[in-house]
Amino acid sequence: MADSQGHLVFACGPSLYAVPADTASEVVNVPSLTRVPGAPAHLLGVFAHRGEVLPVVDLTRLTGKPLDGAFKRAVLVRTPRGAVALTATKVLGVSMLEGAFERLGDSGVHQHLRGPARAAAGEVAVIDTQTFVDFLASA
Amino acid sequence: MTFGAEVIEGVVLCQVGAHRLAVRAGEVTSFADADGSAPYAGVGFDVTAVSPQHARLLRHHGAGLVVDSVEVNAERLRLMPVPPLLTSLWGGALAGFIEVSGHLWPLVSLARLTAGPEAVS
Amino acid sequence: MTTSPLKGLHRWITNLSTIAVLVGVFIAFVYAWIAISFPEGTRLTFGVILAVTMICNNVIGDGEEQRRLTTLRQIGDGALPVNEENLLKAARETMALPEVSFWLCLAFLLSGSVVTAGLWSLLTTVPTNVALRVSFIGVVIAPLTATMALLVSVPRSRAVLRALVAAGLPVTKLYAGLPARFSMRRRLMVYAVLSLYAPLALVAELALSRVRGLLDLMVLAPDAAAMQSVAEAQRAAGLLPVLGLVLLVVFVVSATAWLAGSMVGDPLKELAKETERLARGAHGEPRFVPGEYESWAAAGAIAAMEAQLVELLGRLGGAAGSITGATSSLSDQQGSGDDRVELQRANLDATSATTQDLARSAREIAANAQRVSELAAATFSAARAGRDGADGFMTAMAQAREGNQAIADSVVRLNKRVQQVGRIIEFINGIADKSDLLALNAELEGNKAGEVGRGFSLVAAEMRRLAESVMQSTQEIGGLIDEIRDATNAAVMATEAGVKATDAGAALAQRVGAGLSRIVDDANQSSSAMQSISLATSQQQTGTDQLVEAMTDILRSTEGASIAAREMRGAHDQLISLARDLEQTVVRFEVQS
Repeated sequence: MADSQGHLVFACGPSLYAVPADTASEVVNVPSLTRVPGAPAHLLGVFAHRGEVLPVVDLTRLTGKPLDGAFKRAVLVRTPRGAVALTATKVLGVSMLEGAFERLGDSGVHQHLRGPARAAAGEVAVIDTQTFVDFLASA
Repeated sequence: MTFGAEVIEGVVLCQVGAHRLAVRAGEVTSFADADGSAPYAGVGFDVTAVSPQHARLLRHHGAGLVVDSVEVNAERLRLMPVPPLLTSLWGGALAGFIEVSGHLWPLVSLARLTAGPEAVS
Repeated sequence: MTTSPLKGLHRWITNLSTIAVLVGVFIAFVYAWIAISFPEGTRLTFGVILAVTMICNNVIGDGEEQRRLTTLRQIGDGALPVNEENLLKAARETMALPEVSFWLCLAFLLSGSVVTAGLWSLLTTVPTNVALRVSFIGVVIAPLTATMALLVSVPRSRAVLRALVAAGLPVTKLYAGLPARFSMRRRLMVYAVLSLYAPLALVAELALSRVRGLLDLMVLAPDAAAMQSVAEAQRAAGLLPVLGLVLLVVFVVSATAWLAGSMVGDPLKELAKETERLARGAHGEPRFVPGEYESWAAAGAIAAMEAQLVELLGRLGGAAGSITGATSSLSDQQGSGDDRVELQRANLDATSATTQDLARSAREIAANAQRVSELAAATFSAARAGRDGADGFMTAMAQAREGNQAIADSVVRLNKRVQQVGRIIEFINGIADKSDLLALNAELEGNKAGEVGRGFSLVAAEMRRLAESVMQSTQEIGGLIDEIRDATNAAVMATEAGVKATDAGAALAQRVGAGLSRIVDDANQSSSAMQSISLATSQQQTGTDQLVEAMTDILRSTEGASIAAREMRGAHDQLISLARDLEQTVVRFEVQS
């Protein structure tokens, strides 16, 4: 299957992730965060961006491979269920992906990742943003 | 992108360990020294430590919440809405966010927080 | 309180002179009674006048005598302390008393005679020639009586002087304090004249008055028979009283002569005894021999002589004892003296050998001192060179410190620049990061715009690469800056350590320089000292050579001393026998203390 719309590819820890370019509204530098009471561990906190409070989600904690240290960048993803900032160690840019877009797992976050797709930098896990945000809201 | 038009006046800014917490001033019936009957707000931030000495109790109609220190702010502040992803957190006690001195403060509704014992856990 | 032995002596001493006066007056009265035919009715008046006059005179004279014995009386009464001064004063009064008695007697008898005769002739109708005769008798008797008073006072005066000596007046002081008057000859002549002419005058006057009375009777006789009877009566009657009178005068004259002789003879007799005692060798405290005039002088001289003799004998005895002791010890020592001389000679031989050794040592010391002196001079030069070296080192250290300081300053400046560069790089990196982010979002937006935005996306991607390469470069530069910062920090630390090291080195060099300066001073002083020592040792060498010569001389002298010692022993034996003789001679004088 060929990628018609293009994906924003970014690295978070050792893994490469991609979100559809049309859901990725912006790449931002992550400022200091405010912890929210009662929030799960992968929800690092919130920050105000253009008058809006944005929650920051750490993909490494979600995938069970937590990475110590601050994340410099975040990819802002907007869905009808709300906006969320995904942490990134490096944003590679928009790429046309090739390969399969099958569900990578049956439980947890992995059921919202699709692949295996390939970018110029390597194999990429594509995030199904709609279901992913639903998953986050229910978690 | 929603620009909340709500403005509040009179908040109690609280410190819980290294974290921030705000409560509407109108919700607080009185301040008192912590006596162990009310829960410590640190549990919401996974702060395992119990409330320190000289902690403050924010009383709200017989119930309450213990924080490390309090400060009353009487400015008019814009109340930013809770992102949809976070509305169910802490029993839905999050009422919004305010920005004071360059920092975001989560505003907690004591009424919602103390409505059920299962809310704070 | 015991009565003083001197009490009452002042009165006792004058008793006899008073008696002598009374005797003289009595003689004159008797003579006048016999010789002069007093007119009827005037005899009682004469006797009363004579008695009153003489009593008055006697009272006045006695008072005068007592006045002149005031000190003696006061000592006797205890009014004055018994000390040498007062005793000597009393002795002087006592010595003078006989003369005083003489002159008082003479004066009062002469005046008494004249006064008696005058009053008598005034109160009665006595013929003038009778009154004149009475006064004549008094005038003739007066010197004799005065002399007698003097002579009877002399023994009493002597006795009082003895009492004064017994009371504590030293004999020598007494003799010295009362110098003698050499008038014995004149006195004796006066006595002789008085003794001779007074009786003669009286006898002549008596004879004359008798003859005149006879002639008067003869003239008045009516006839030859009457004249014959007058002559017969005169011849028969007048002889006995005249004879008695003459006998009385002879007695008085004889007594006077005896007293005069005693006055001269008694002291001489005692002096003879004293000199005899002295001749016997029985010496002691000089004894008091009272005397007058020349005999007083002689007694004083003998007493002084005895005192001197006693002192001399004392000294001589001491000297003899010392000589005996000395000669005895000499005798004891003399036995070992010869041995000592031999021993001394042996010692001197050994000493001579030692001094020769000493002379050799002194020469060696002089040579060594010379060498040490040269060494000290060399040390001085070396120390001075060392000090100069230390000074140079200090200058070099100062320069090194300055160089180090300059390096440190440069490094600090470099570090500042590097930090500035770092800040610039950070700024550039920030801009690059912003550019990267901007390019990313531009690329995203361009992609969203589809085909229209593709070119935009390509430009944005290029821009991103540029920004990334800038960031990579800035990252590399940051690494380099970090390296430079580390290096400059190390350099700063190193230069600081270098400065500290040079400081420490400079301080050390300063200490070394100061020490070397002291060494230079010390070496200078020691060099001078060694030169002095060298000079002194060479002088000492000369002295030691002289000592060797002196020792040789001493050895020769010792040979002579040995011979002299033998001769001295002979002389010493003679001295011992002489000392024994002297001691025996001195022992013969029995010195009594």
